[in-house]
Amino acid sequence: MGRSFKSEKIIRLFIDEAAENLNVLSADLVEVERGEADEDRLNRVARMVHTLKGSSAMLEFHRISALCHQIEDVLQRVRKTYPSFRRGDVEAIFARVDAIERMMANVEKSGEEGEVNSDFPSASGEEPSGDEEKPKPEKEEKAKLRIVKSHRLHLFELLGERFCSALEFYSRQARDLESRLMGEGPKFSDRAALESLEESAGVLKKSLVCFSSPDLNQAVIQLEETLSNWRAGRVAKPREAFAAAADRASLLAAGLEHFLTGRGRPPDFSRLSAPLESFFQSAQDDRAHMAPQDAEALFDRLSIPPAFKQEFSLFEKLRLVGECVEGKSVIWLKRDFDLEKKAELAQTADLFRPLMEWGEPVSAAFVPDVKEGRVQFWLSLSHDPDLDDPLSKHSWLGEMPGFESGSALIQGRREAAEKREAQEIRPADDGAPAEAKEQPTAQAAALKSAKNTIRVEADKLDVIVNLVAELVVGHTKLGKEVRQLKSAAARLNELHASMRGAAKKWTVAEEGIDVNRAMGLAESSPSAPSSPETGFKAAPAVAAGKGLPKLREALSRFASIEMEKTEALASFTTEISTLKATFDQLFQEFQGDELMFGRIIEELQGETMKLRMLTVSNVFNKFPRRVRDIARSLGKKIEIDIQGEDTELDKSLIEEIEEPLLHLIRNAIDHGIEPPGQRVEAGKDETGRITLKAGHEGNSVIVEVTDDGRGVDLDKVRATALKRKLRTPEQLAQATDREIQDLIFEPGFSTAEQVSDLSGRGVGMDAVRAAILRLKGSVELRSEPGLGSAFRLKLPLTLAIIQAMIVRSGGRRFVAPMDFIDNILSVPNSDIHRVDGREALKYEDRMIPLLRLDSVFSLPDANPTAVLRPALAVRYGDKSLALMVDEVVEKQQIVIKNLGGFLGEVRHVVGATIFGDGSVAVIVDVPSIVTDLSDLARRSSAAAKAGIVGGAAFHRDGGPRPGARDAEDGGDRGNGPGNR
Amino acid sequence: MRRAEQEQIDETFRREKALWFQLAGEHYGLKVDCVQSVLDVFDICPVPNTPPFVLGVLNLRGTITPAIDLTRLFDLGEGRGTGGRMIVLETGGMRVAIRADEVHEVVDVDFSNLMPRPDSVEGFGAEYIMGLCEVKKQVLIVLDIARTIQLGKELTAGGRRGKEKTE
Repeated sequence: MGRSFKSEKIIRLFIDEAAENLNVLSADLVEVERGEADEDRLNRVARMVHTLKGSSAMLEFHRISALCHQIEDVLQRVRKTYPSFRRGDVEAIFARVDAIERMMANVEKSGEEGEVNSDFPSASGEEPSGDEEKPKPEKEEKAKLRIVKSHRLHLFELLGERFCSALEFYSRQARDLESRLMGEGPKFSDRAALESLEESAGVLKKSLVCFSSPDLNQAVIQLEETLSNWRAGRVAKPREAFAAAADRASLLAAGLEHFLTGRGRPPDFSRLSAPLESFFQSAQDDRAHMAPQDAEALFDRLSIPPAFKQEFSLFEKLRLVGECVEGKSVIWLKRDFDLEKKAELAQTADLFRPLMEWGEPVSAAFVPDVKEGRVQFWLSLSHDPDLDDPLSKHSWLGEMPGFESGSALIQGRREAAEKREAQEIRPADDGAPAEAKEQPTAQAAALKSAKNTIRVEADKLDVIVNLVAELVVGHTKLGKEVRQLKSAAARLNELHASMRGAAKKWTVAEEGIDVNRAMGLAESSPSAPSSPETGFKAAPAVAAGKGLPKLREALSRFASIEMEKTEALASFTTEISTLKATFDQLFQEFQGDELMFGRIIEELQGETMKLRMLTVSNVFNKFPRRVRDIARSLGKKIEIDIQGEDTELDKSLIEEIEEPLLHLIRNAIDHGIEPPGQRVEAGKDETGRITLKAGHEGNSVIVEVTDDGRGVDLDKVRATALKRKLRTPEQLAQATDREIQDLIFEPGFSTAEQVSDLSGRGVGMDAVRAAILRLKGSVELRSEPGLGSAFRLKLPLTLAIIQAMIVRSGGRRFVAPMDFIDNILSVPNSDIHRVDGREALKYEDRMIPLLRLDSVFSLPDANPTAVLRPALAVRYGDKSLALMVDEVVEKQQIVIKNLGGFLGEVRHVVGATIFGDGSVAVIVDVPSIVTDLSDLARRSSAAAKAGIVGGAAFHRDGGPRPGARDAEDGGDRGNGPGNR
Repeated sequence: MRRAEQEQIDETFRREKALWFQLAGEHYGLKVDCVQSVLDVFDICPVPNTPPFVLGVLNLRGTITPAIDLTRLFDLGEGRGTGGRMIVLETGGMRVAIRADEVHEVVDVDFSNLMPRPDSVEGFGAEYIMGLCEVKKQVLIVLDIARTIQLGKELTAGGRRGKEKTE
């Protein structure tokens, strides 16, 4: 029931966050254990434990939360004496972290923490807090009776004596504060001590406000305020201020102890009402100058639900109003608690901890609702108006039972309070004064940066990546259309010009024709020209004389039609020129827009790809703890040094490199680094050192695992290779040191004399190499006997985007990743030699095998008459070969896509890519071609033999190659790749 | 509630629909619920080292999608070979496009009441045919497309393995 607000999504989020935190935590703890942690690191550890405690409590994983609480207790003790501390303490923390990790695994599996063997090394002898078993019925009764009071209750009243450990913890803190305060005395010379006191008071405040005791709240707030004024150098009467601060610390401790033991009389909190302001120099706040009745009047006008409002003590009212007057925004919120859920109640402070980090708690109250058996918890916080609503970040808040929240609105400033009633309510944000914005606290900045992170499922990113690719394709088409439009515009221009020319010419020509005059001339001539000889029917002169007027009529009609035509042409020409102007303008805009979209799309594509990048710290952080555990189990002393953990790598790679890296590290610890005794004998530091380093190198990411151990023992490797029958003695005798060294990457090789439970299970280095090669990376080993070994992994930045060379072979287009391409060669047939029946080529002073890409893919030779062809000199691992193609088109960045589940893995093909114009090409799997070299060389050479022999390439016999079904390249029409 | 009911009805409705298409002179039907879209054939990029029935891959809105030709998978004789249309299917978590000479329409078919296949029908193995039905005086061979695609996948993988062994 209580978990109804927990959606799966929230739990998922919690698991992810916790896993991340636990990783960092483990790494930090190792540092703590070494005694090397600085204050920041210790703070981070504390913070992470605290966060985990809060979030697990919120999701009602009370066992996890209780463990966190225990860790906090132990950590507190460790910090007190740090860098010296009890070994057992850190051990105890580790044990609890492990238990939490196991519980997290259970949560992931089943949504429940489950039972985890919690037989820990004793933490502190304290009872773990938050135990919710076997409540004593009697106490329960009592709690219920008390609730009848129906007004603000403090947490101790609600929880009875069941909350001892927390109480004890806080009273100890209060006592600690008090004694530190007394130790400093009223002079307060030590600024650092003052700051740390203030911080402790602040921490205590954030815990105590949730206890809903107005007295404790007031005491702790005043204590912090005094200390903060002190630090700011605003104390006018040091002696009095000091006394007041010390008094408040002691009141706090006494009050808490009273609650704890229930003995004696409660301390007299009435002393708190004495105003502190007089001790301080002209304080910045208007608060000091505001009469309490004014403040109360203002408070009454704040929009806070009455149920909460009536529970404010005078001090809290003044404080809240003071915060408003200072331009802070105030929010309130409510959560219902089930009275039966004591453990949950006990965790209130932890539950709301994230909010306390965000804003300043002003007051909190438990208000019982007897009928429902529930209690409402109300909290008010003031915050910088710049900060966004925490609800947007802490969405879990809204999922809490009975959750309500709102802003306490009031007119911004005191002056405004005097304005008309009608204006009364206005968002507090409006009143945000400039000075509040000037000093964004570090906390706020941290909060803001934290806010900028969201978790997105990788699938969703992939969808976006695809859509962006679509956009690119669409844009390419648009570019084509622009070009078409451009030629259409040119054509239109020509047309317009010739129309205008014609109109002009005809107008001029017409002006020269006068029908009337011409007719007049014709009529006045003595006889119509008639020519019987023409063979027409002889027209009598009379008829001609009668016909003339008709001709005149017809001619003038004809002339007027002609005139109309010319006029019409002229006016159409004018219209078209207007249209043309519009068209030209639109076209200009269109062209500009097309360019702009092109830029945006390009940027969008780049940014989208970056979304998938994560820092390697996601993996690296897991290792310090592992190293510590492994080293310990082997009785070795080892430190791990991590460098470049901010290097970014594609998410899929991050996931894939963890196992291989762990393997390398295990190997270094197990085989590389000697036991302490041997190290000392060898004149080395007793403590071995493993360095894990990441960085960029060109288009790749380099990850190095270095140890200062004994290095690879070549004799041992030789012996093992013999024993395992990996090589013959002759082969070994010929092999270079490097070749011997690299034998450890071969399957079935293991140098461990005794198989330990860590490595040497036969899936050693070969598994590492296979895994890295799968990622299109490479692994190299450098080793100096006696000095250590270094494994160097070279990985592509991302699996998704690579630089690639577009080539043409067998009439098709292929893509080869640049990572493997050493060089582009131009190979005349005469340079091709035959060695042992296989084709080979001289490259960099040695012969390398030559393969023809078309025959690798069983394609016909598209250009059998060629005498000169390009070849890609490719290298993979330590092997090189020349891959001959018909044409090298261009270098391009491409997105690797897999071929889909149906095809799965295709031999010598690693995937496909989609070009800007939407066409598809297959990506060549260079490593597999290099690996399968001998098979392929046989085929390639056989094919070549049939076609070209020793440069005599001019007649095609076409023999061994049947016309393959797919000789025409469907995917290759159009303008070739990337012509945009 | 109402919406759920409507969806229920839609679902039942869908189940009784088949896509009627033509291939190598024969008329076929396949359940419409695994059909994602029907497209005009556009550029198909052949993929080397795949069996002949794999036409290649095509770009389906940014996703590489394999395209196959059932005539080559089942040796149905020469269809039109090229041209025609692509029926994009999603079955068994895989997306595949199959080529059809012609795609006619979506028709109502009672899948629970199909006629048994006469022995004379050759080509497709019995297990890939659900039965026959008559639609608009035309007999359709109703394919079990999920199994057909599964067969294609196995042949793709098996062919590869076999090839590797022999080499």
